[in-house]
This record gives sequence, structure tokens and C-alpha cells, in this order.
Amino acid sequence: MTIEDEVRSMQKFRMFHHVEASKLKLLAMVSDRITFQPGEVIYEQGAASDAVYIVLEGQFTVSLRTPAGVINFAEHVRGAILGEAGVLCDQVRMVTITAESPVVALRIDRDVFLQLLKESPPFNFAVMRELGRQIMDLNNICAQLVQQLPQGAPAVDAGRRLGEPQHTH
Amino acid sequence: MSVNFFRYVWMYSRREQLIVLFYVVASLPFYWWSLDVPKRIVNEGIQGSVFEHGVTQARLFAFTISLPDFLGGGSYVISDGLLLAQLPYLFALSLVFLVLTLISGWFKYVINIRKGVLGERMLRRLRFDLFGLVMRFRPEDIRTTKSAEVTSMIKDEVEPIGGFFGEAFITPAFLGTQALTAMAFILAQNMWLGTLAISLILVQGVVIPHLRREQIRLGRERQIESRILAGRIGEMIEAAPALHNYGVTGHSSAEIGHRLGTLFDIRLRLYRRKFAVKYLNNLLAQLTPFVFYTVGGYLALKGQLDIGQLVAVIAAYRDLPTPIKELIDWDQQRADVTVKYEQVVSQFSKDTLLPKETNEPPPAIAADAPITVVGLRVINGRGIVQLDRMSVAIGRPGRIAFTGPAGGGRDVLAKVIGRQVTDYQGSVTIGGQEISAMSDREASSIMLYASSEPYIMSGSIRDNLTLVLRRATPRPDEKAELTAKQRYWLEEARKTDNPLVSPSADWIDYAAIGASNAAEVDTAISNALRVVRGYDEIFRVGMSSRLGDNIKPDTATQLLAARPAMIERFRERGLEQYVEAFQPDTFNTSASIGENLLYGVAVGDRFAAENMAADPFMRSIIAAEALTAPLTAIGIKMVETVADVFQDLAPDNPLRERYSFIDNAEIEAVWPEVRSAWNRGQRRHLSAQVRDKLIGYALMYVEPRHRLNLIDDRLVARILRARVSFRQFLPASEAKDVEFYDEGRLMPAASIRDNLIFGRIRYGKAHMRDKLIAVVAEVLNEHGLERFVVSKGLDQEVGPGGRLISVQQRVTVQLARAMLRRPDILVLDDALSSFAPSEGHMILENIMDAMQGRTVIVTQSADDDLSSFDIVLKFEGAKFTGLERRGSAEAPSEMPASEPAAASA
Repeated sequence: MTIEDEVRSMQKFRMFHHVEASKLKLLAMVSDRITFQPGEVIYEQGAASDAVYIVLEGQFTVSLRTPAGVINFAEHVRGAILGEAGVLCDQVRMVTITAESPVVALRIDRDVFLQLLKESPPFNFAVMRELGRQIMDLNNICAQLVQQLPQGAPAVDAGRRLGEPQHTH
Repeated sequence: MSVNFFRYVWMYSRREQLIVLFYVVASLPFYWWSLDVPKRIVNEGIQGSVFEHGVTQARLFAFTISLPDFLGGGSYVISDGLLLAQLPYLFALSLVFLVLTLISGWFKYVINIRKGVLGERMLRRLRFDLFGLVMRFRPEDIRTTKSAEVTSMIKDEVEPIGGFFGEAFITPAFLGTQALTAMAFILAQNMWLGTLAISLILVQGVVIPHLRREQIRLGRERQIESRILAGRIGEMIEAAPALHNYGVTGHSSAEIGHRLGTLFDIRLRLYRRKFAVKYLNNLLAQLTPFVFYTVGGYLALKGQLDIGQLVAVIAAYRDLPTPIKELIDWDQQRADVTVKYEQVVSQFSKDTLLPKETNEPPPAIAADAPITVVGLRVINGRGIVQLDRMSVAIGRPGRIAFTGPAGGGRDVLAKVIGRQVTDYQGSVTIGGQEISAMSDREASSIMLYASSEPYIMSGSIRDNLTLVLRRATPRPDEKAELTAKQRYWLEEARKTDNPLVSPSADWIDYAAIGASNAAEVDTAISNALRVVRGYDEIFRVGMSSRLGDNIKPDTATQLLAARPAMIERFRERGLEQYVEAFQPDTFNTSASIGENLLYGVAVGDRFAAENMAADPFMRSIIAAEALTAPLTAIGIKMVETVADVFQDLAPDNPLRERYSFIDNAEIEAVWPEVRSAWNRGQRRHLSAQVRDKLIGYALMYVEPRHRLNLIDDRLVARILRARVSFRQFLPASEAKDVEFYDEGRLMPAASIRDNLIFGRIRYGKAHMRDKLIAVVAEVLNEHGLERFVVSKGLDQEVGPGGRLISVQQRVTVQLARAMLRRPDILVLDDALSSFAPSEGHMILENIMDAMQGRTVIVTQSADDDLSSFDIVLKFEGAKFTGLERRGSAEAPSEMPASEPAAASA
């Protein structure tokens, strides 16, 4: 697979519809193509957010370790961008991502990703749109979940983390 | 140090000065005779005054000693002399003259040498004394001292003083007696002429120094002005990044320009003055011979003076102005030098200096003697209260926190206890000893201070770590056979009160860390680094440092044995697929085309990646294997891609990093020619220079990294053929430029890590590099190579001021120093601020564990976790607001109840 192939794959993704080919080529040129075998962890909850991944091929699971056990809460297929929130907010990884089938992804280093956002407005716009779409999806999911709650259940709190407490030392 | 120049000189060079004076006195009779003999040659030898009245032979060399009357008045004939005719008489006298000249010359030579040596010794002593004084400045004074000014004073300004040391007493003695001898001689010949000469000289001696006073004043001004210039230049160089940042280099240039102008003006006035005085001086000097010729000639013609006498007087006078002139010069120099000396010494005399260092073992201070602070108050130079009056007794041992906002009283107290501030009111004592009055030796034997600004000196990391142990003051071995050179060094050091022990002697205080040799010191260093969490870092540095040529044979064997063991380990862990080993007949896809072609490590610059394409031998191999066209095509494709994709990016944009070997400026130079040639389909018409560039790019190409799909099987086959012929045809004389990959041999030019992996880590896997390196570390440890690797890591150079290592590494070095010493009291004044809070906390915990039973004083902010401290001193701004004694650090009541996880971690 060459950079040309990677660009062609990305062009098919919804999030990159409006990004011109030359910027996608730039994106491909400054990233590394990485493959993950089924069961291999793409990144671990609590690890430093050192890179962003764009999944070109394959299927993966998102899971969250909580004191009450592991919650596998979503499965996704190609065309997703992973880890951008952690990089943008300078936070550690919130969840663990594991490959389900062989996954091919472009890995973009944190600094390169941030530079790319500065450099290319269409790319920046694509990432924003992707984040916006995710928020809308989440709102939709939240509303559905709240509907399922019994009357009088305690309100949720954005400050409370479901993940295991971080060790301070 | 004496403020009076002559007292200083006399105090330290009395003996030498007297010896030289003795030589001077001893030379005087010869000087007298050398003046007397020409007279006799003319009068007796040539004019024949002793051969008158028919005497054919005269007696020469008859010596008779006559005792003065009060000793009995007898006379003893030592030698009857020789009876000689006129011609032999003349020759004999001439020979005597020659011998006298030789003897005088020899005296001059000896005196000059002795004077020079004496001067150099005194200069060495003066410089060392000045350096010693700077070293005894209080920390406050050191901070206000401009290092460039001090450097210029110690190095340049005392230089002319050095030349004068030898002159201080000897020159006036030598020249003075010489002049007096000559004067006496002239007087003995003729009263009139003598008085005349003396009066002229007196005029010279009075007028000239008067004229020179202004010259001295200007000289002093020049000295001060150029010192300030040196200081400002030093400051500006240090501040250069900031000046660029603010865009104010113009203003600083203007300032320097103005200072240079002032200096120029002073120098110009100085020169005018100097040459005017010189002119006058010459005039006066020439006036005397004029008088001699006219008056002396007149007297000779009148018969009151014989010709021989006149010639002798003129000869004596010819010699006379020189000593007189030099004497005047000496006086001028004296004025100049004493001014300079006093100027410099006054810069180095502060009201309070730290006590002198002694070699006596410091008095023992009990390990539980508290730190007693009574009525302490610190006011800075501008009268601002930095720490309000406070009294407290801090029990030892203990873990003590000073809390409060940064920059307030907590920092000041830490600095007072750490002896960074010595100008305070009240008293701070440990075991009855006032902290500010302790000598370094006393203080450093019980405590150590660490701030957030570590001092790193150029040298290796090891040098920097062992710096803290270099306090053993090795005794010179009395019995050891010294070579002549060593004896000379020792003797000279003794004569100038310089330290007798060479800095390259073994200064390490082994006893302090319970070690007995260098290897055990390395162990102690490793342990110290582990405490401050810097060990892994050093190990990593060691792994990536060059293997180097001089490795011990058993280390080499171990390294070679570790290679297959590591491949085996990779296999066990299922990691072997992620490393692509070098194989002589396989193309390594994870390496660049150039590396594949070379199949080895470039030793010098010749086959380094960026020069390879331009090397004639490499070019001939490329041409011979028909690689020129395909490689040029790859290069064109790369340039095309870069030009296309990166066209909108600034030349220094970090996104270009992956293709950074293709310089933007080069593309702009190369691209038009490539495009026009391409359009015409005439690839051959590329100029040789452009083709070399393109091939150079192609040699850097790595398929999985750059992913332009430019390598096919035919190209691989050709590259492999080229690899073989490169090795085959490389002239033996040039074989040293490449180290070919060989599984059975080590590659000194490659890093330890690359030596073990012996291949390239494949692209396309995340985190694999870290995993593989972890395995390499593991295997190295198992093969007993850990010590070797760490030792290599410690050999890393830190650069001036530690510029080659990161800020964290510098702090780590400083903390590791403290852990090497394990002082009774360790003051950490904001020393962990360069680390992330969690990392800093872990380091602090480790340090406190290692300092069990000793005292650790840490400045903390009020909202830090204070659970592990025994005593907390609270500050609000400059005010001490209270002391909180806590129970044992493990007291459960201190733990925040909401975080049970933190307690066990």
C-alpha cells in the first residue's frame, strides 16, 4: 500500500469529504502506517496521549475499565479518527482501544497532528466536524439512556469519572 | 592581601629579590672596570703614556692589596704581573676588555632571567590569590559580580603588573647603582662635566614625571573603561537570545559602539601624551652630548682634559642616559602598576569574606543537634524585609517542610540554612556553630543545598556526579620517586603557595561513600541515580552511545554472546518479526537504499549518508551497476512529491521533518531544471550536480517510511549486486572508511543498541521500538553488561553549563550528587520544580526513604501533600506564621480519607 492508496482510502471517509487530495497526501506523508493484529491494543486507558490514529481498515472495540469491571461500550469500523480528544485536551487516554480484526491505521504524532491542524483549515474543519458529529451522536445516546432510567435516579455529573482512579504515585 | 604593592612584593619575594640584588652588586666592579679599561687602552695602549721616556716594557696585571692603616697598613703582593711591550700590552688590554664585556653580559643575562622568573612566580601567586579571594566572596557578593569583569582582571589586567614584579626593587637598585657608578666615574674624571651632566639629568628627572602624571590618570581611566566593556560584552552575549527576542540588538550595538568610542578617545589622548613626553625626553637626552662635545672639546683643547678622559667620559655618558632613562621609565611604570594593583585589589576586597579554608577535620556536630534560629531577620540590599524576625528550633533528624507561597519567607529561610544568604541579622546555629561563619569544609560535611538551578560544569556526566566527592585532598606521596618534571612542578607550586596536589590526582573521597575503588564509585553512582529515578535514563543514554574502539576483550565477547541470545529472546517473546536483521544477500526493506548499498557503518564523513552520493568511488559503483537512471528517477519522484505536497509550508515547518534531507532551497534550485528536462524527455541532460543531488535523495529513501512505491525487484537485484562490487572493489587503503556488517564482529562506530539488534526495527508497528529496546536492556543485564552500558552512559558529555542535556537531566544530576553524599541535612529549595508533580513527588519519597534518620528540608507550597513530613513551618509572605508538629508520617489520621488507593501506592 502506498501513500496514493492511503489517500484514496481516506477520500472515501465521510469526515474527509471536503478535504482536498493534496492535504490528505500531506497527512499520509507525515504519518506512519501501522498494523495491529486482532486482540492487539491500539492504546491503553491511562497512557499518555502521544498520537492520533486514523483507521483505514479493520474493526476495533472501545472499552473502559471501571472499579466495577470492564465495560465494552462500542465497536467501530474503519473511517474513524481515534485519540484526537486526548491530544487536543492534553489528557491521558480515557479508554482502551483493541483491534477486533486486523487493523491498518495511520499514526500521526501528537505534535505533527497539532501542527497539521494549524496548517490546513480544511483538515481542521474536518476534525471539528467529526467532533461535532460525535457530540450529536452522544447527545442522542444520552437522551435514549435517560429515557430508560427509573424515576428519581440521581443526576449524572460530568466531573465524575467512571474509569479507575489514577495512581498519583 | 596587602593593599600596598611594594609590601606585597617584599613579603613574598624577599629572598629572590635579595639574591638578584647580590648579583647586581657583584656585577658592579666589572661594570666599573669595563668603563675604566677603554680609557687605559686609549691612553696607555694606543697613545703609549706608560711607554714614554724610552720605557719599552710596562707591567700589567700587578695586583697588590694594601691594608688600611688601622689594620697595620702592610701591603701584600698577590701577583707581580707581566712585563709587556706596547703592542702585546694593547692586545692584552683589549682582551681584558673583551673578557669584561663577556662577564658583564653574563651578569645581565642571569639578572634578567632571575628577574623574569621572579616576576612570573609573583604573577602566578597574585592570580591565585585573587582567584582565592573571589572564591571567598559571600554568595550575595558573587551574585552581583560580573564574571567577565573578574576574568578580565585576573587574566589581563594583572599581566603588566607581572612584568613589573621583577623590576620593583631590582631595577632601581641595578640601574641606580649603575647610574651612580657612571656618575661617580664621570665626576672622578672631571668635576665640571660631572656636575653638568648631573644637573641635566635632574631636570629630566623632575620635568618628565610631572608631565607623565596626566598619562597615568588616562591609563587608569582606560583600564576601568575596558573592564566595563568586557563586562558588558559578556553580559550581552549571555543575553543574546533575549535581545534577539525583543529585537533590541540595535540598541545594544549602539551601546557597545559608544563604549568603544570612549575607549578610542582615551587611547588617542594617551598616545598624544605619550609621544609628546617621549619627544621631550629624547630632546633632553640629546642635549647632554651636545654640551659634552662643546664643553669637553673646549677643555680638551685647552689641555685641562686629556683626549682619553674625554672619550671615556663620553663613553660613560653614552651609557648613562640609558640607566637614567630606564630609571625614569621605571618610575613611570611604578606609578602605573601601583595604581593598577591597588585598583584591582580594591575590587577584590570586600568587607566580609567567607572564612579561609583549612585542611583540619571539621569539628563533629552531633547528629541530633537541632537547627536553632534566634531572632533571624533578612533584609535585602534595597532595604526590603524578606524574612521577618523569627525564632524557632528545628529538631533533627526529621523531615521538614517549609510551606507558603513561592518567593516568600520559606525560600529565604531555606537559603539561609543552605548558606546561600549569609547577610542576616540574628543567628542560625547548628550544634552551637553559626551557619554563616562555618567554613565550606565544616558546612559541607553536614549539609548540602540543592536549588532549581543546578550547576553543571563541562565534562562527562560522571565528572559532574563525582564532583561532589572530590574533597579528599590527597596527600602528596612523600616516598614516591618523582621525575625531574614532577619535582619542578611541585617546587614551583610550593614557591607560589599554590596547591601542591595535582587536580588529576585521585580526589575522590572514597571513605564517604564506603567505596574503595572506581568501580565501587560507579556502583554508588548507580544507586544514587536509582534513588532520584535517573538510572533508566542513563542506561538508555548508554545503550544509544557509540560503542567505541577501546572496549575490553571480555566485554567484546559478552557483547557478541548477547547478540544471538537477544535474537533468541525476541523469538521467545514473538518479537523477531519486528526486527529485520542484516543479511549479506537480502535487501533490508527497513533500511534506506544507501544503507543497503553500503551494507555497513560509515566510519568517517566520506560515506556518511549526506556525502555518499558525491563520493567518486560510490558514483562509479552506481554507474557500473546501471543504477544511475533508476536512482535519478527515484530522486525526481521524491522531489516532485515534496514540491507538490509541501509547497505551501514554510521551509522550517516541522511537518517537513520526514523529508528534511531535501532542503527547500535545494528544491527551488533543482526543480526548474528537472522539470524542463523531464518535459523534453531528456533525462540525460541533467547537469552532474543536479543528478548527484537526486541520487543523494534516492539513497535516503526507505520504502515503508516514505511509501511512494518506488522499489521493485529489478532495482533490489541491482542494489544487491552493487553491494557486492562495492565491497569487492573498495581499495584496501580506504577500507577504514566503512565497517561492513558482520555477525561475528562488533561495530565500534555504531551504538551499543544497534550492535546488539544487528538489524533495523521494522516500520508499521506502534510501541514495538520500546518493547524491543526493553528486551535489549534485559539481555544486556543478563550478560553482565549493565555496568558497561551505564558506564558508557555516564561518559556522555554534558556541554558547557550542561547545555547538551535536558533541564530534567541537569536536575537529576544535581539530586544524584546529593544522594551520593547523603549529608546529615539536605535542603531542597524548589529543587524538584522542573519535574511533573507526580514524578517530583515520587523522587521526593525516594529521597526521604534514602535519607532515613537524617534531615531533609523541603520547600513546599501550602496545598502540596504534606503527609510525609514530621515538622511543617508555615510562612505567609515574609512572615513565619507557625510550626506544626506532626506525628509519624504514617499516621492514618493525616491520610485523606477519600483516597485509600494513595496510601498503598
